[in-house]
Amino acid sequence: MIQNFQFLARLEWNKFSKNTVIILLLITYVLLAPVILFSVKNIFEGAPPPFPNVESFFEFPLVWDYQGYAASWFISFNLGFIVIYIFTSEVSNKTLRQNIITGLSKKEFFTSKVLTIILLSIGATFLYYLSAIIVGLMHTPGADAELIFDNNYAGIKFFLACMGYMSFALFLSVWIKRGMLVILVFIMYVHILEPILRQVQLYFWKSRTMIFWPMNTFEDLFPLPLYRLPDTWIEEQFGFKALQTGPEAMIFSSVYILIFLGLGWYMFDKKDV
Amino acid sequence: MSNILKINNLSKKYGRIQALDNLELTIGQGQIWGILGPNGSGKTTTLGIILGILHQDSGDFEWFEGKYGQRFNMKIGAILETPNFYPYLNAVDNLKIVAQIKKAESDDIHHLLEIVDLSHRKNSPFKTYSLGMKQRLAIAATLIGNPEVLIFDEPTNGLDPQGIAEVRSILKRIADTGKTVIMASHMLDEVEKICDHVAIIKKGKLLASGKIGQIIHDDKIVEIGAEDNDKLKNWIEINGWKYSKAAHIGFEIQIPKDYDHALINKKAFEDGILLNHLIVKKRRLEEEFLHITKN
Repeated sequence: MIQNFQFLARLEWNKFSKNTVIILLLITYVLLAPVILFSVKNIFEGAPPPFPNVESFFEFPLVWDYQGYAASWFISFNLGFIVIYIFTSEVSNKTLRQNIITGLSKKEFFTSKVLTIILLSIGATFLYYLSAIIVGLMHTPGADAELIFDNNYAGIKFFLACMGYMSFALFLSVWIKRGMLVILVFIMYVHILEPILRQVQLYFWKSRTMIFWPMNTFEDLFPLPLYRLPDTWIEEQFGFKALQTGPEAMIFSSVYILIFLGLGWYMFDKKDV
Repeated sequence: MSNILKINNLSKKYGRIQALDNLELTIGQGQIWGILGPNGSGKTTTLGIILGILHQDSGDFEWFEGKYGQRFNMKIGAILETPNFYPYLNAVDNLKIVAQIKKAESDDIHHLLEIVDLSHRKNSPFKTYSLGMKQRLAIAATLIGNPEVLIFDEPTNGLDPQGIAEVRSILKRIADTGKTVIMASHMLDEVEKICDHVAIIKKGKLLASGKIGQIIHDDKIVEIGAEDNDKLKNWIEINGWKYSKAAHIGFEIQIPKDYDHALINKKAFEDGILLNHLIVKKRRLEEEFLHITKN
């Protein structure tokens, strides 16, 4: 099985390592993420209370949360687009069809895409770890190991956030197939449609279930550190907390990832290529 | 001789359109088959199903008498409809991917590119190729891993006359190597030049199949006319030739391919008929095809 994974990973590498779109998306992810990260410094600089001192975002242990929050925007764009591209371009170039004709099984093809998602998630998590530690060490005077690794689920959470957005992107790609349309639906759903649907739910059925919608679940893996504060106020107002706890977010993210990948495979297997 | 492919009662519908209707076909080792039919007759659907990318509604098919199970594609080199490659990769990189999937050595890629005369452009991206070059690259791709069966779908479609001639000569050479070849085409002369067997389908139904000589007659058509056409008609009937009324003058008669048409004039003269018109006609393929598909 490991041999087969190696074979599929190498195949994906040969298909896309010379592709300009993929190279650009990866480079912007690696280069621009830090820019976004530090831009918040200017936005909240000197903001009055109740905003906390933004400096604390860059100190351990809060740096883990903040880095995760800032990067998750990038995950949903860059990494999501990469997944949409590597699937839908194979549909439009008819190379998916040709791959199957040549001898790849549908299962192998789908696995190669899931494998790419896993490898990208591992790579992004590694970058996240590296940058959080570097930024944290730069800003936290006298940090020791205990303080640094205080937020010890951060790595797993980040991996799940990557997997979550990318599984959703793969699911949409299998379903809709046409690249530009998938990108549109992906952005619309993540940033507009789901928030609206949640408000609609809130209107008809005021319940804590409204925070367990899939994209909100991935988001709650790394809420903006600021949001923890008004949550107590929301609890008084609505009778429930507006943020998922860490374990909740991790469990529900895993469930959604399995659902998106499972549904994706089910549809892919049934349809003609 | 062992069977390479056996198709049983294959049917498929697209909505209300019956794309394939109980198709039956058996293909033996080393045979060169032409699947002949007008556009939209179900050729590509048939190939899509036997290549495992389309699902049939009913019926089944078996490759290599089941020897390779579901992995039969590994022993088949095929192109369907258009040549499909990664547009941003060059010929060598594209063929490497094919070799990787086929789990074949990529050593012979350069040799294959020579066979299809693409060596000089092997480092240009696929998207910069002309249609003829794309088609030739696709043919090279089918040869990777030395497959037992080759499948081509309208291999000369959209090419200019020179491109058609090039592709046909490559196909002819491949056919001569003893591999089993299945080629879909809507052009009768193409099938005639390359194949030894033919299956004719129309609206998803198999109209005829077998050795090419048994299905498509290769008789000569000669147009003749005389002063007295009634007498001429009698004379043709006595000779037992098939005939029909010609558009302008006299009759079109059908004589065996190797019959010397000069003899017609001589024979007519001996029988007291003076021909004033004798033209050996080019076979009108479209008409002939219509004739076959009409019945």
